[in-house]
Order: sequence, then structure tokens, then C-alpha cells
Amino acid sequence: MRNSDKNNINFIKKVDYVLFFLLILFAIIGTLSYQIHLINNIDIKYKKYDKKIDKLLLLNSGFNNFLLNKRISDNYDSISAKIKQFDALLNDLNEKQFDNLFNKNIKETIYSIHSNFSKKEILLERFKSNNALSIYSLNYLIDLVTHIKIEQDIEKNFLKIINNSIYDLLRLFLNQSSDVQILDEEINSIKFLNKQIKNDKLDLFNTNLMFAKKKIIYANKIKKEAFKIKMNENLELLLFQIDKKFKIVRKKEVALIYFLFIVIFIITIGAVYIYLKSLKIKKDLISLRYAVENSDDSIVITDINSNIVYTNEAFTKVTGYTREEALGKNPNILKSGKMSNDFYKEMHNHLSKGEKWVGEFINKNKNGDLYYERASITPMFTNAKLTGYLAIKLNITDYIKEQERVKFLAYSDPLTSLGNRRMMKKIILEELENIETSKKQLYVFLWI
Amino acid sequence: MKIIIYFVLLLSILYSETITPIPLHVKDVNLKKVKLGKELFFDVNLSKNNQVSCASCHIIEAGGDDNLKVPFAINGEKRTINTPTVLNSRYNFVQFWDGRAKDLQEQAAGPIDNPAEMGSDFTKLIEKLNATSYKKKFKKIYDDGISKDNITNAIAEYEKTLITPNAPFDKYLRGDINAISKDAKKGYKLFKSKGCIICHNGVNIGGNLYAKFGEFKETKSPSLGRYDVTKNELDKYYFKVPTLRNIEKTAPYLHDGRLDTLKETVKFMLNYQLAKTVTKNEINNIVEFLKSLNGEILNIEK
Repeated sequence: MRNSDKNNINFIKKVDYVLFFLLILFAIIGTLSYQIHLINNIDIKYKKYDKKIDKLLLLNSGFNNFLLNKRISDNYDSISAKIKQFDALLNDLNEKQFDNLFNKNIKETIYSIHSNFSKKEILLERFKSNNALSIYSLNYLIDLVTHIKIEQDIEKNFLKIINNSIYDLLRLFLNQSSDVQILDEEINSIKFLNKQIKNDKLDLFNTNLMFAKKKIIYANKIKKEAFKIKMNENLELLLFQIDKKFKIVRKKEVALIYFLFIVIFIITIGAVYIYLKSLKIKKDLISLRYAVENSDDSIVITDINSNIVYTNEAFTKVTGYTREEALGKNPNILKSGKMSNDFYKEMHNHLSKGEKWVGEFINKNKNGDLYYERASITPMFTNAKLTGYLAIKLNITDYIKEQERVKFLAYSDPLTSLGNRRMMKKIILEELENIETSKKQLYVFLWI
Repeated sequence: MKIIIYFVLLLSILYSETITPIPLHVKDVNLKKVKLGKELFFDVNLSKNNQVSCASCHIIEAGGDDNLKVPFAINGEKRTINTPTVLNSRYNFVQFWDGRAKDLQEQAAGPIDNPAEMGSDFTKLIEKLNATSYKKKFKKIYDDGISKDNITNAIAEYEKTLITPNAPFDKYLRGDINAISKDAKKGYKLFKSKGCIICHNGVNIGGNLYAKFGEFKETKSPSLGRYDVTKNELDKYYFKVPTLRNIEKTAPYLHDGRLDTLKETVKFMLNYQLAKTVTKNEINNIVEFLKSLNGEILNIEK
């Protein structure tokens, strides 16, 4: 019973190693697939941000385009929609919280984009209002000029001034000339002219001219201010920072994946090497086992508590006990009782010192028959630790019996089976020896 | 050369079509939210005294506003701003006359906890609604149940469906040249040539920029407009240009409701905003055009 427990423990130990190995392998493969998943996520995230920032850049260039070209033939729905879209995209970057991959630099850039956008949005709205009025005034002036030309009888020189004023205003509107002075001179001339002829339309024209000038100059100022906001640079910087950060993170993850691959590779190589080696050991063991199994000597292996863990066929032949019967039992089942306790004591003394013991036993087999055997018992050590005992025993019953017969033949008369001369000599010599030690007297009676 | 091209372009802007028709369908909404939002929109329990709902001031059949000069106040406060219409408000670039809400959801929160309007406190309101069947209804749509965000989100979702497609003028824009009268066509021409279209353009015929009230002639206004939000001197008297859709139904007019009729308003606007004189006949034609902007209220449940 105890023995099977031991076996179980050994088995569990073995399983533990295999399990441990498998667990490590699973853990590594798990980490690997998680890493691959992470990298995939990083790529998706990066693409998402890249796309968003690209859109923001596009929208921003749309704003700049609007400021430059003034979208005079379009309605304001599209620019309003673009502003809303920009706002929504920007909020997406930090709606609830920043992406955990964003570092301080990236966050700062996003904050500065936010603050720049609020500035730009205000300017864009002002520009929309002013631009609408600028366009209206220009239209109104052109309209008025046609009326003035048709209805009024005005000198050609003055008409030229009026035409020039519109031309200069248009140049100002298109930002082709910043020479406001000429325009002011023209306005003054028209004012002066109007004082002379007192024409309602001309008066209206002049008022509108000044109004338009004011609006256009203001719109140009807004435009200038809006272009001072480095939104494009901000967005490019953000793109660069995110690209850099994600590349670094990705590199780290990829390096880890390579490392894990290498670990798996090494483990695999190791496993293959160990397997091949174990194959060789197994082969050796099989031959050894074959040798042991088929040995004429009976071989018994016990654990440290002297429980039999292995017997070979010769053992069964000699003792009559099958392996199944012997396993787990103490070898003292073979004790015949013919040996003194001192004998066993001496043997145990040897063994407990870790020494090999050699001697002869008179043992009893399963049927109760006595037999002689010459045995050598060796303590087995693994890594300097006692793991059990190995007994190799040779049945010498026939040899002993033969020896006794030879002895008998040598000391007796073949005809009468009585002791012969040689016998007498042996006995007398023995007795003489005894006398020397015991100082007794010896008497010999000879009858021939 | 560029100047000449611009000259032509400038002239052409007054004759180009910068007004676009309202889409015939609303597809970008969650119908469950719309249903819930509609219920909330008409529910007087959202107010402190259980007597006022969103629909009290935004009467959908009456042009989406209250047809009062300025709205009544439940706390007796003196109001100064005319109620804007809820119809087609999704097409406005910002909400409120001074643009203080960037979208409908932000707007929806405004009147609910305004002491003069519905006077509710959101924390108490959420408690109140949690004791009703709303709790279940919200939970079905929103994981976090009733919250300020979710109340306003649902209302905004409903308001997104409050559009008025198929106005005769929209039909005209879509190619049905007989959809509007001859006078209205003349009015449209005048609307463009007089310059109204400079500010009143796009799908909502307005609602896509701020403009100064009294651009050419100074006029008194109790409200300072956008200045109230930004406190920037440059924004004084700037208001969101209102939509002209269904304008016939949303009298009285202007941000303070100072004018009762469209004729007066057209005259006032041309005078103060565009410095233009206009004949009675021209006014009649423009008003005729404005009347062609009445659309049909979209029935989303169909």
C-alpha cells in the first residue's frame, strides 16, 4: 500500500514537470498572441488617428481657402458644416479622456490645437459676417454706378474717378494692393464733387464706398490674423508626434514578439534535444533491463525503507514469489531463521555505513524449502542521496551440497561410510588446536 | 484679368442659386430616441410647476414658435428675446439668437433649467422622472438611464425630425416652375438683387452666419446679441441670421419681436440692413416670395 503511494507520488512528480513545462509554453504562446493582438490594435488606432488628422488638415485648408477665395458664389452652409466637422473631429481626440498612448507632448499639441481652433472659429465667424457685407457693398456700388452712368449727366473725368474707385476697391478686396491712400483720395474727390452737384445716388455711392472700404479692410485684417494661427503646423506636428510615439510603442511590442519567438525556438530545440537524448537512454535502459531480466542471478531492488520495488525472473525462479507478490514487501519474507541475529546486525552495519556487503544467506522459499545463496547488497546513491538497495544473489545450494558430498567422500571410507584416516587427522589437529587455547588435556584412544 | 473674372463673379452671385431645398426625408436619426424625445417635448412634467412643456412655446403647427412678441415667464421676469422657431432648427449653424448653444442638444438644456421658462433643476427633475415610466423607457435606450445628457439627447433627436420639406419654393427649385406665383418669382428676383440673399442663403435661407443688427443705420436693441456670450466689443449687436422658412407663420418678427407684419419687416430690413429703398410693389412681391417658403411638417412615423 505504502509502495503504491510512493509510485503515485513519483508519477505526480513526473506529471508536475510536464505540466509545468506545458504551462510555460502555453503562457508564452498566450503572451505572443496577446502581443500580436496588441500590435494589431496599435495599428488600427494609428490608422484612425492618421485618418482623423488628415481630415482636420483638409478641413483647415478648406478654411484657408475660404479666407483666400471668399467663396463669393457659394452659400455659407458648407463652411459652417466644415467648422462643425472640425470641432467634432477635434473633440474625438479627447472626448472623455486621452488615449493612454498619448504622451505629454501629444496632449500639449492637442490642447494648443483646441485653443487655436477656438481663436480661428471666432475669426472665421467674423470673417463670414464681414465678407457677406463686403460682397454686398461691392455689388451695391456696381449697381449704383450703372444707375449714375445712365441717369446723371456727370463729367467724364469724375466718371473716371468713380470707376477707378470701384476698381481700387476690388483690388483691395482681392488683396492685390494695399494702397489705401489712393482710395482715400478718390473718396475725397467724390465727396468734393458731390458737394457741388448734390446728387442722392452719388451721396449713397460715397457712403457705401466708405462702408465697403471699412468692411474690406476689416475682413483683410481678420484674414491676416487667421493666417497667423499656425493650425497647419500644429496638425502636422501632432501627426509627427503620434507617428513617432506609435512607432516607438510598436517597435517595443515587435521586439517582445521576436524575443518570445526566440524563447519558443530555444524551448523547442531543447525539447527535441532532450527527447533525442532520452531515446538513447531508453535504448540503453532497455538493453540493461534485458540483461537484468535475463540474468541467472536473482536481482532485487528495494527503496530506502527496504520495500521491494523490483525483482527479476531469476528471483521468481529461486524463491517462488512472483514479481507482483514480492513488490512492496520486505525481503525478510525469505528469512529462514537459520541465521543468527548477529549476522543480520553485521550486514545492516555495513549497509548503514553505505558500504557494500557480501555474504551468504540460508533462506526459505515460498514452499518452505531452504536454499543457500551468495549475495552482494549495494546501497544505491543518486546525487549523494540514498535511494535504495540493490541485491544480487546467486543460488549456491547445489554448490554447497556438492561441496558437502566431496567432503564426505574425502573423510570417509567408500565401503563402510565410516571416517577414514584423513578424518582422524583432521579431528586430532582440530582438537590439538583447542587444547592450546583451553589448556585442557587430550586423550586419544586408538582401536585398529 | 483676375479682377474682371471677379467682377463677373460678383455680379453673378446675386443671380446664382444659393438656396437649396430641404431634404424630403430624415434618415440620420434613431427612431426610438425620436419617440422618447417627442414624449419629453410635449411633457409638462419637465417644468417646475408641471404646466409648461417645450411645446408650450414651440407650437409646431403654428410655425414652431409661440407667436408672441416675447415669451411669457413663469417667474414674472421681463423677457426681451422673441422665441425662435424649432422647425428646421437642425439646419442652423448655432442655436439661440446669440449662438450660445453649438447644437440642438446644448440648446435643449437651456429652457429646462431657465427659471423664467420651465424652471426645473436637473437633479430634481431626474429624481422626478425616475419615479415614472420614463425610467424604463430611458433604460431601454440609454445604458445609464435618465441623465441630463440623455434627456437633451432624446429631445434633440426629435427636433432633428422637425423639418418642413416641400415648400412651394423648394418645388420650384426642384424644377416645378409653376409651383410659385409670378409675383413670388419677381419677389425672389428682388430678394437676390436687393441683396437679402447675401445673408439669407443655404438650406435654411439664413441660420449660417452672424450679422449685425442695424448694419447701415443704428437702431436701438435691448439685447446686445453675441456680445452677451463673448463680451467682445466687436460682437455687439451681432445676432444669428434667422431662417426665413415658414416665416409667414412666425410673426412677430426680429429678435425682439418689434414688428408684426412681413411687409413692415421687409421694409425695415432693406432699410436698416441694406440701406436700400423699396417700393410698395417690390415689398409685396418679396412678401409673396417669403410666403412660398411655408413647408409641410414631416411626419417621421409614416
